[in-house]
Amino acid sequence: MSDTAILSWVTYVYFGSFILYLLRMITGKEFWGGIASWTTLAGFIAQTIALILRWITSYKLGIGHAPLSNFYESLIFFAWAIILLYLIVEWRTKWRSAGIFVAPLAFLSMAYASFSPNVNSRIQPLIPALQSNWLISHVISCFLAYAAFAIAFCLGIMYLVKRLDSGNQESTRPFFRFLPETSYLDELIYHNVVLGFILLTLGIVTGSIWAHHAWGSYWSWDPKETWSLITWLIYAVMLHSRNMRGWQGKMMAILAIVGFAAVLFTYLGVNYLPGLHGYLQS
Amino acid sequence: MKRTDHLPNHKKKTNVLRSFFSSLKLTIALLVLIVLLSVAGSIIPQQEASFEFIRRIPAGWAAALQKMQFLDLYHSIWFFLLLGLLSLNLIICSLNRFPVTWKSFRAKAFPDTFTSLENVPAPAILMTEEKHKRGLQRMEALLARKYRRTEKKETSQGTFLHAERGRFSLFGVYIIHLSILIIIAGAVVGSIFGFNSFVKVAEGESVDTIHLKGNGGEKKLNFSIRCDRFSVNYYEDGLPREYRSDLTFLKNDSIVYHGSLLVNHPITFEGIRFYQASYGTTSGGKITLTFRKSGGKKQSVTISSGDAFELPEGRAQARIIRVEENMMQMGPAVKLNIHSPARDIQFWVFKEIAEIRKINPDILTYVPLFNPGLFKPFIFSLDHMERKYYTGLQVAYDPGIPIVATGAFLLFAGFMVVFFSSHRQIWIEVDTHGDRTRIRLAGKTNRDPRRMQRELELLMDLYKSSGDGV
Repeated sequence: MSDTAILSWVTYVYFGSFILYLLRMITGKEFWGGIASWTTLAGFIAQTIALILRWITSYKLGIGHAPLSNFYESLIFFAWAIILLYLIVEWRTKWRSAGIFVAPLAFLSMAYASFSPNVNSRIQPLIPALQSNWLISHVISCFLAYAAFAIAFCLGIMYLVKRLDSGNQESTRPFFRFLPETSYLDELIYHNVVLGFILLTLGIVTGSIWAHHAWGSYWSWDPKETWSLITWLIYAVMLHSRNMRGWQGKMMAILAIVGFAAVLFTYLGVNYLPGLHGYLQS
Repeated sequence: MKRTDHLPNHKKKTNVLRSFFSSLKLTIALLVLIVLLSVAGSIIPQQEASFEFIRRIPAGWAAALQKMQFLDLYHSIWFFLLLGLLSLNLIICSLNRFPVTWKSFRAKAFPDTFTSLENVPAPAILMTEEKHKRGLQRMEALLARKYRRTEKKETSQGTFLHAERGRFSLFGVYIIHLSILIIIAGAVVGSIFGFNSFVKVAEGESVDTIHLKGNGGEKKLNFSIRCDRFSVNYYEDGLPREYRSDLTFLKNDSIVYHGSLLVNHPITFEGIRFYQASYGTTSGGKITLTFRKSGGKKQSVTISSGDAFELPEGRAQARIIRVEENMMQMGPAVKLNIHSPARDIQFWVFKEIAEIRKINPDILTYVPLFNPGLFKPFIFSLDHMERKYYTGLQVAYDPGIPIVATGAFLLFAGFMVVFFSSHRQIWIEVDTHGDRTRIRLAGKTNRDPRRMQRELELLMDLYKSSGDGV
């Protein structure tokens, strides 16, 4: 089976995980949660194998490079990173309720990559600008950062949903009962934002070093650079207001959502603005 | 009276200013403003890109945008103002907070007033059957093994131990702020003392003057760059694989350096960096044309674009007036102008004329201009067209880079300190409680209470499990 075939199957698997996580929340039966977790893990392993296969295939074609070089590969890697971080969070916290928010994100990213006619899934050789050792470190740190912010975004939504139910002492609906306490959510949002912030900084710095070698300037106000700075500043404001002013809870949840909107614009939106990062145009 | 009134007033004024510049509200407001400016800058076309944009909008708008410096926002007065204010804010904030941090950094483990654990958060209690002396010894040994800095104090109340870790983490925030200031300083140094420019060098030619970007102007280098060869090659599916310029750097007409310039592999010469930025073809290459009178023998000339040659019998003169690499997708062609006493005539000579006529037999009927025999009785053919490339070089000089790099490095150091370390102090009291020994542990941290808790638990576990052996 080719890597793209496996990856389109993985898309369905993540959709399946979403349904299973949802079943758990609606029926209140932990049984579904177990199946959901194993399904997600199976999808993740299959996706990892597909990525390795794709890497090997590129070498067989004589144009060997890591599968991180075009829009298709970036969408796949984004989904992979989201699921990786989610599985770590699930394993560490034993919470499964974030699955209904995270799985659809990974599914959408995979579905866009696999089924959109505008996204070319072929393995392409590296054009001269991408032939650099900085490619791997830059792309990996950026997308792990995006994934950490994606998880923080999901937790932010969970926080706001949980608050809707905060009046009920003993919620009868399993959906709300399964959501973790807001204070835990707040803490976890903070941890994910810190992780994302450090990785985004790393992504910006590696990108700057790369630009210094490829474009003749470490910073040229290309829209993607500008928007990554905007994203960085939004999260910097978030961390300052928490550490210095002790803002917590709702404000943090809202900022996690706003920040992720900036992340999405940095990733996808800037393609509609003219600039140097044209590699992602499909 | 007046004097005494004046003094506090003045003091109050500086305090107001100082608290304004040191407020977190100002920091957040400035960051939000920088975000808004950046959003505007990514939407409104900037610098060179704005030339096209202002032609499409009403002249009044264009003038207003220009006057407000909105077409070069990242070099505008607004942006420098924001950066300046942010720097001031960072400096004053840090200066304001520093004395407090310094005090906690220098703070003694046991202040002179220290008498008990009353002032530290709720202690954890450990009871043991051991003798007071033995318990104290074991605890001391354990602390000495786990911590670098430990202290002991005997008071009338009992014996106290202190151990701590990560005192340096108090400075993390200052490291981050300093690194941001250094990065801003490096950027300013680069924009004042550095330059950025673009230059085209045709194969076989050399340049020693570059045109600066932005404010324009020329800069003469004290060396010259010659492009010996430019090549581009492709993958099977047509995507470019490599752009390569073979460059020679000359000083006083003698070769100093020779090397190949590739994308992602800039060449640095005398501190100035050269990048492969673009390429194109020029019409400067040699062209070989053949002509014959119908029935006569072939003659050929090799000339450059724009040059002319005499046709036999001296009655007419031919000149190459245009050169096309790929004329209307039909391959290389040149346009000739033939000047004779009777008239001027112009037509195209294609290299692949035989092939073109095979595919499209009637082409010369429809487009007489493509007929190489239009000037009778001569028939022309294009034998060879030398392709001549130029290479487009980005030329940059930025003395701010080491400064910015230092700042970026410090930034990560600061992150490590702020996000992964914390100042954790432990106070331990060992006293006799009836016939047993009571050990009380209390911890205090500047950020990570959970880690503090784990550390206390670990310490207690280690104490218990080390048992009688120690």
